[in-house]
Amino acid sequence: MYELLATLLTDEFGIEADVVTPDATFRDLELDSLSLTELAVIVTERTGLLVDDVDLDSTLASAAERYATASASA
Amino acid sequence: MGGEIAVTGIGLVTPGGVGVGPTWRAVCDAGSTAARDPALAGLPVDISCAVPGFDGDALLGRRLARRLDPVTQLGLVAAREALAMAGLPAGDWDPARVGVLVGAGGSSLAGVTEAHRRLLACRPETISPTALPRSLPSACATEIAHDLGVTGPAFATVAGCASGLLAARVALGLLRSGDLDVAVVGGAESLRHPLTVAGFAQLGTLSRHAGEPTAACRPFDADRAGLVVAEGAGVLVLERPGYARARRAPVLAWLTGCGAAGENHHPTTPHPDGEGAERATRAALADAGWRPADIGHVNAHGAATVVNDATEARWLARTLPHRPPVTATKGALGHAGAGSGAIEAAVTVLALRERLIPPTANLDRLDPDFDLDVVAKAPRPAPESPGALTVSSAFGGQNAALLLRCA
Repeated sequence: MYELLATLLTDEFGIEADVVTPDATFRDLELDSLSLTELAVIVTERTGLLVDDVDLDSTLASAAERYATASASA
Repeated sequence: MGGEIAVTGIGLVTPGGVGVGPTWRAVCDAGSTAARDPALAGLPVDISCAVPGFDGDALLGRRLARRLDPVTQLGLVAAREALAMAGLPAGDWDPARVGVLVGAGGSSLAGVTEAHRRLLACRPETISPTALPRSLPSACATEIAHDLGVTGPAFATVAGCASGLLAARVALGLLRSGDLDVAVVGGAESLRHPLTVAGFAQLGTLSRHAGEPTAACRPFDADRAGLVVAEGAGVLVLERPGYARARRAPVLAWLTGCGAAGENHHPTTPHPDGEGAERATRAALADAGWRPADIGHVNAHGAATVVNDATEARWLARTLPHRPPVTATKGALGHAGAGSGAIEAAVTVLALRERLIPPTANLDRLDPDFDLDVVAKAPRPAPESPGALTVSSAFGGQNAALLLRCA
């Protein structure tokens, strides 16, 4: 799941790959609420997973973990 | 008379190319940019004038470009060019006294049709949250304001193909009243969408000229057969004269008067006498304190439909009996709706600066019913008179006219 998030952030949102790290928060990557929602919609489209408690201060690792948990419970 | 306003920058993204230089060369070249369009494959008419080689990701950055519909990207790139030419933003400007008024014929369809596809597939949870904001008619105006960091009024003027010139009309008032120091005005639109083209085809306004696509758009020609859809954006930077003078801005041309008028005639057909366009032009003349003879050349609406051009020829001959030379930019660049009015205003500024009237592409044989002097085949040196008129006529009978003079 982390790999999917990282790929979307670089390919879809044009964020430099070297700042996309597990410890980075979405805010660190200068996403705003609109772009974070957009990212979540793309993840839902690709995976069928819906997560509602990822926010701008979530790290990529914690967001990936959250999706993985959603996957496990699905 | 309302007082002149300075034009200090222009920006163009058109089927002639990305930028003022490529567009000016394309319109002076007397060729058409129309070609078969893969995006329109399978439709009754599948030709358009597209902006060549436009790469929004490269020009604006992927992060910004991905949330903008293509038409907003065109407008934003044109605005950046116009502002750079004007030398803005200036260090000491007041962002609240800068307005952005960009004409749009309607909502941008690119993102919203994708959202609709997902809705029809019963997958509303996969619709992008950008689907609504990116489709707003005001998206281009507000994105330019955001890009520029200004906080004055930013909105769209919406009246079909007259929208671009109406933006200038409204801005003129806001600058003369002293509400604004600077107004970024223009128009951006793409008619190159299958839904738009299908709709125009049903109205019977699209050219089905039997020849090559490059021969399809023929303003004022005896064999004209309809319009060719296009995409594009034009932006002009307008300033209060005192503001432009104080910052020693280069003045490209003076905007001397604007007029707008409706017709109360028909939803899609102009009044046969061009009554609204004539009144808009006379209102602009009164606003500028000009006589008709002060108009040295005309950049006409010239949509190349049978009815539009006949109407336009009648009212131009009646209103401007001194027969100033007429050009129609849509012969080269096609019809970009609200974008065209602003593109043609910028081309008129260039014509005044270069003292050269671009030719009307595809004008091989002037319609024998027209008492007009239409520039064809090659650019023509502009006459002594320093003034020019550009005019737009829209579905719904709305017309707008703008007068410019040499700086």
